[in-house]
Amino acid sequence: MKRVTGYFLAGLLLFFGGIKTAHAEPAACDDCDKVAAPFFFVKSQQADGVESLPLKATRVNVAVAGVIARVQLQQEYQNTGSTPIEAIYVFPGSTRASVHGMKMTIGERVRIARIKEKEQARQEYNEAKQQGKTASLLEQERPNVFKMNVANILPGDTILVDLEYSELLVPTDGEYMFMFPTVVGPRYAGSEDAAYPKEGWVENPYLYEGEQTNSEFTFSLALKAGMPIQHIASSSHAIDVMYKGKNEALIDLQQENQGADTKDIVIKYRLQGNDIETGMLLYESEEENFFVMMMEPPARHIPAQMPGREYIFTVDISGSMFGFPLEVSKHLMKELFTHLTPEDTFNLVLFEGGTSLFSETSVPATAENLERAFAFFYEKQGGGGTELLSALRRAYSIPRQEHMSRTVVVITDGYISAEAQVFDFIRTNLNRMNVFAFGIGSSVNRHLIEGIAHSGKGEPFVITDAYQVEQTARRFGEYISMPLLSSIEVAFQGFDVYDVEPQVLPDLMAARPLILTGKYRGTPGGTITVTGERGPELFERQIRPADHSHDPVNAALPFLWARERLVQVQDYFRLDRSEQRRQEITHLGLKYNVLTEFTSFIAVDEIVRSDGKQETVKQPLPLPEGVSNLAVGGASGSLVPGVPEPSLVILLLSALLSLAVWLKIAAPKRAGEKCER
Amino acid sequence: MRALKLLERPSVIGLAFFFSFWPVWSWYVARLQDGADEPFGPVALILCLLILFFRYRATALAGELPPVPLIAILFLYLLTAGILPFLLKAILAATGIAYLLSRIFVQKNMQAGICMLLILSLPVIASLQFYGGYPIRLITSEAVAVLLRLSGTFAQAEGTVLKWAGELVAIDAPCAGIKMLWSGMLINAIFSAWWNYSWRLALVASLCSSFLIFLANVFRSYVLFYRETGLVSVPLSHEGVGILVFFLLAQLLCCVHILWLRKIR
Repeated sequence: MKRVTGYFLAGLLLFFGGIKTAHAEPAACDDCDKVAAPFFFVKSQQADGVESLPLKATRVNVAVAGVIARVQLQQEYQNTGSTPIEAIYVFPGSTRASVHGMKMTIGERVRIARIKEKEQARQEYNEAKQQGKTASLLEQERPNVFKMNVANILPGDTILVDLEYSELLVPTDGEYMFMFPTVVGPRYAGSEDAAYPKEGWVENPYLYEGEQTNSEFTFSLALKAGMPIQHIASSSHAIDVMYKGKNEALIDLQQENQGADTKDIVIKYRLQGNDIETGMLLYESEEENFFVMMMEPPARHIPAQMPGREYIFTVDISGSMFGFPLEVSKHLMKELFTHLTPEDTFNLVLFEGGTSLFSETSVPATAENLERAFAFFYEKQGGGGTELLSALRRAYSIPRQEHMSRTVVVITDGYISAEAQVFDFIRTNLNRMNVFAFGIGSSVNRHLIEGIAHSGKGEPFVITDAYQVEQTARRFGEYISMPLLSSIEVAFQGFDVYDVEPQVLPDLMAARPLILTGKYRGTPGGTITVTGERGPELFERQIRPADHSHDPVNAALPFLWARERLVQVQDYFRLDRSEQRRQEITHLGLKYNVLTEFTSFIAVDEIVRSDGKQETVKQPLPLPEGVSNLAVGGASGSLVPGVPEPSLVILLLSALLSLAVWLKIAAPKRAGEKCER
Repeated sequence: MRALKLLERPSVIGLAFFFSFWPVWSWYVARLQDGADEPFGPVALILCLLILFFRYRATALAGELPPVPLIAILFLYLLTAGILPFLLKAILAATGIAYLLSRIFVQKNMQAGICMLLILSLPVIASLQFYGGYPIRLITSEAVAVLLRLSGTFAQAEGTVLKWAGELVAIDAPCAGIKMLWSGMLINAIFSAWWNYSWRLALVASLCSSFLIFLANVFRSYVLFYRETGLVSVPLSHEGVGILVFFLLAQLLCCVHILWLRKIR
């Protein structure tokens, strides 16, 4: 009896201990028992005298000079209520943007924001807020989501916050595109997304479908292309274009653009050229000198000049791919094979714990070889671990044929080991093989897929269900079908460069230009020689840096270089979340004055104007065009948990303890044993 | 002759049978480590061995072991090796080992409990989640909608989503209750092995257990609906609700086995 009592006490301890653990366990986020969710803004429910819509205007001025876009974004906050407020506004940013400046204007006073480490900036902001000083804090929540906090906006105040960011415009298929994102869509955040553990910003009010904020929105873009402009259009809004010369134009949104801020603004334009263009931008600052070199593909392609194509399909057949992902991979392979011609060659590397190679050398993509490859693939079953690095090394070791552009296509769900080394390997071998990644499955490891895309200077492709296969395969086939230049090497003679990104160049595809950013010492001189193979021909182009001069217009180059470096470091950080990477990101942000996930901009007006008491108001956002009210939940969240069941450890312990107790109770008593009461 | 006699010993036959499935065991070990499934299958295996040792070692057979069923399983394995996925091959192997252990310890051709424990020791949770998760959630949402209506809260199930007061409440993938199912069936299998259930009784026990586990998951989702929507203040975290529900379920399963099923075996 005592033993049974003991077991029961142990059971109760386990039970309550389990619950306590469930409460205390940080898991992937501090508040992981709640799904963070957006909610609807209801004007009638707002407190009297409190300004509920503080954002009165957003003004966007874009200046495009060559391939660099400098954006000035002004937000105007007003308090027409009778109570001091703190305004919080969540807004989107371009993933290509490098935010490098902010200033706050209160009446006649202008305060230039400083870049600080995120926690320090937050602390300084909170102190200023409590002391009754007007302060503004800009933080990055995600690479494309920013949050502006403006404290102590007194009744009658108008506060202007100006942001400045730059981005490099990279043409695709000869078309340049500038995209200004206008609204952040409603999202939910639970504990599953380990990359972004704290997602409080998603708890934002939204207006009902069709409702507007009545906030003013203006947009204008001044384009100085440096070359004759062929065509300007917008796929999102009606625009007015005023040409000021062959190379210059001014673009404005037409007046009747109501709801301009519910869909992203997309401006596209084309320039003209027949050959591969090379361009160089230089900028010299007090401490460092920067350059950007860009090689664009020509507008028209001469087929005889294209190098031969070799494709190595590297397919994950590990245990985690078993079932739907493997079946979709097979379907995808079939679709990808339809884009091969008998002049192309291909090979197949299947990997799990080990690797299996279809053929010692790549074979022509004839119907017979493709059938054999399918048979080889279909024999394999999902099982074992996933060693992608071994597979890439195996692909790399396949004897390479001359004058062939080699492309490695990785197909995986992304649950692999040694991910950071995969990125290193891809980066250092970019001139030997292009690498593209397909993520397959309903919960793909997007960090890996996007990291491979960044490392390989390409685009990520993700397939979450069988219906996306054909379209994605077609898009991919078009993307890689025309390698224009392979085995590209860049030699710097007499031009002292360092910190060049990328360190190795991939093949030049018809769809994308090659871009090199870096730093240099001394006076620009010497030559930069770009060589490669264009079909059977050797290609060579020389650039003389001395022919290009430092231009103050290129003042954005340090920020663009920093952004390139940050993208690379952030890919690694998202994998290992190491302190070293975190410090590297912080250092880059502080040194180059750019907004990152660990550095924020803060501006404080030192004049104390109130006692610090204020209402916090989150600016409600309009729903993006095409998104319905169903995307937004109720007052306290509308998802029964994205929280998993209790962990299997606790369930197991609970089961075993219960079994032990009940089996003891049910055990037959030995003869003579007294029954204790 | 001595060599032939050696080959007839159960231990030798058992070892030979075990090693002939070497590729399956390699896959099993790799699967436990690849992070794509829960790695607690070996717990069921250890429990099975403990039950055999503590409950049945006194009656362990030292005599003959008819090898025909093992040969049949091996033959089937060889025929299907190129077709079947590893998980099904592993189930085949587990069946053979269940026969071995049943013959040696229990003098039965196949004890249901042992067989269930060995199958539960395989990496089945991810596959159950993938194939069974959605249908279970579908039925769960319908059942929760019924419970809610009985409680005076009008909600309508549309697929795996409950529509209530113009809002959507989803029963998403982690709410299928697969881990609870595995843990509950473990309890069921242990009782079946401990008390040497016949196959018929084991089947009845399994059906009852599955049904009770499903009801428990429905109840868990029902409570969490109220917690999440804020209609009722629940003084427990999400995980706390799940732990409490499973604890009560475990007691219920044990009672069912001890007070009813054991008595009718």
